[in-house]
Amino acid sequence: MKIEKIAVKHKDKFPYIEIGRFGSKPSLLVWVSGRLIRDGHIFFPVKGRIVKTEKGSFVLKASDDYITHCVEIVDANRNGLPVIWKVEPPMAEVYEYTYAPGTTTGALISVPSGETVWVCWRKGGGWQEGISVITPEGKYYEVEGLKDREEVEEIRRLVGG
Amino acid sequence: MYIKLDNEFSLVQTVKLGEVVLPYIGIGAEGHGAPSFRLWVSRLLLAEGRKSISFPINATIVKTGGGHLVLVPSETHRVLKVVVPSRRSKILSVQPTTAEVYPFKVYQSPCGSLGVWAGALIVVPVGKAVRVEWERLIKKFRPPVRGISIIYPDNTMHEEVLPDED
Repeated sequence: MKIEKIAVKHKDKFPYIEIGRFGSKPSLLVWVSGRLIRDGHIFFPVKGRIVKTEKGSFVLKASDDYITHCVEIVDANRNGLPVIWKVEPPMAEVYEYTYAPGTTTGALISVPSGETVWVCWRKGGGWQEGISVITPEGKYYEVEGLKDREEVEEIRRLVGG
Repeated sequence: MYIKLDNEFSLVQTVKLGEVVLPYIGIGAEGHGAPSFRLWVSRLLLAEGRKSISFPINATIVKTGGGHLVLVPSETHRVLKVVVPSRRSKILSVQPTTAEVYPFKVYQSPCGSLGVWAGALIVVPVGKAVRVEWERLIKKFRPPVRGISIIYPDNTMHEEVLPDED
């Protein structure tokens, strides 16, 4: 599932977004550049890149060279296996978050502009797998029963076209 | 007829992943209509804007490393789709032994309470007959009926019920 927008909150005039929930705290807190805020929200995909500060905080900075998407995998697994096990292209920067265990896992993914993102996931204890694809324009596709991009390319080669 | 040679048209669907579009047909129908498996279809079989596939077809099934099945054209093999209509049925064996068999199920109701038909895609060399041994359970608490069906290359069939072993 693609997340379209997240409401921006303010702390001492500094804007931030919080996503996911870990007990009483948000799973991921990201400070955001004021240039990226529209109508009090961050709309995804957003022209920006998440960077980590020296003290370990995450900041979403405006950038023309990078784009950041937000993807969630609903009804994820409970057995501790990673839900999102592979993200392509390899240079993608992935910042994962979760809600209550066994419900939903998501990620903010920063990639160079123009790159299509392939997110490979497993849920339901690992027996259900699939792929989510997000194009640079923000179009979202999801399919179950396919493992990863190599598998898709192998089928594509046999199918032709 | 104890066995049905399924020659109905199967509508080709597609999986779209960005620029990648992969055509497939769903084979079988299990719980709530979910197919037993996806059979990916080569575009060479969908020439001239064809949007459906019917069996038997001059083609073969290629298995990928990930276990996916792809239907590709072939001049030496053909693919048959057979189902055994009954309350409960089984396909016990297929001859020639070199034939490739991909079994599936067809539920007659969302959870199969009204019957589960056994089916199979069978890949055989062109010009060879196929012998299918099957078992049908017609009524509860009655022993199943066993029999054989021979499907000839011209799609005609010879069927016979085997006598009880008791």
